[in-house]
Amino acid sequence: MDAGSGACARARASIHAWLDGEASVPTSVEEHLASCVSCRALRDELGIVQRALRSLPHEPMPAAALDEVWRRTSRASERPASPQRRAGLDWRVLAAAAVLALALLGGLRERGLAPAAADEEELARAAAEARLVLSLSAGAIRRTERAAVHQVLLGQVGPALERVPIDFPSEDPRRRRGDRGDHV
Amino acid sequence: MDVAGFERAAREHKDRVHAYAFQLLRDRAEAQDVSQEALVRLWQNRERVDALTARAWLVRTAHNLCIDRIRRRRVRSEVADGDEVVALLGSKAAGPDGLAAAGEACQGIRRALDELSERDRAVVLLREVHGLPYDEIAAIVGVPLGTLKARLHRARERLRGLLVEAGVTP
Repeated sequence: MDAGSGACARARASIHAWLDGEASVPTSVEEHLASCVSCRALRDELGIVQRALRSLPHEPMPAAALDEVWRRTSRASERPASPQRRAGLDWRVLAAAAVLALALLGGLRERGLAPAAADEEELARAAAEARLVLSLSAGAIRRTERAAVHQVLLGQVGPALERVPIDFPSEDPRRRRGDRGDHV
Repeated sequence: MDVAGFERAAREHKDRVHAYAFQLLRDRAEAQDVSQEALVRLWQNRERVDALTARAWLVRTAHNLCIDRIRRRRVRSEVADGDEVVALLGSKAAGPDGLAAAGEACQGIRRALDELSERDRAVVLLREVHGLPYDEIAAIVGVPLGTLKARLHRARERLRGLLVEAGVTP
């Protein structure tokens, strides 16, 4: 192929367009290819290159690698739920604190260390607060449970039991000896 | 894209993303890291990515991750064994001669691809190996259509020269 030849340059452009699937080779170029050995070789060899490239094997993604993606994305999907979970924990801590305060006040009253007149009001307020906190925390726990069940059903996370190793205790020779001793 | 859309896109495009990363990086562990990272990033950006453009988005993300890695290190070659390549091509080749020729051409083209710059290799892989349309490739590698075609034509002719030099083509 003569690089300076207009016919060869046109043939070269046509061959690439043909390889790109954009156009068929025009008749004028076909005629040129019939007479130009180097342009014909270009067409044939570029065709071989294309076929070799298309026959390259595609390595699929290993199943374990995809599992890791599911694990990472399901863990990420738990993030939006974390404020809710945090709120649930906060309510539980508050509930525990309220119950503790109630018990403490009751204890102080029994020992006569707290002023009796203030105790009735304080106890009533603390009891109301404790009931409110407990009902809110119960609601938060229910919502967290529903969200967790939903995620398990969607397959985003596995049930916790699947991750709990169950180890059957092996026989302890000392215990066996002890057992024998007891019998003796 | 919602959660179900992400899962569909991940299952549909994971192998292409992984294959492209492996062909560009020539390292299985790195290809696995890149394809996982691209999928996790799709998850993180799922609200901004449409299901119709998920493939281009994933391949572009994988492409950029690969280019970053290539720039950070010298590419380690991990060429598949000849027997493995021949086995993979077994269903396409006819007879022992065909198998041998296909295996030789395959190994030859792998070696020739390694000789290309990563920019040219990316264009050849996306167009000839993965068959993506030009506009999608242009968006992935971030060049105008004319530049892309010129790069592909140049890369094809370079590959042809390398295979002729290696005696793979007649």
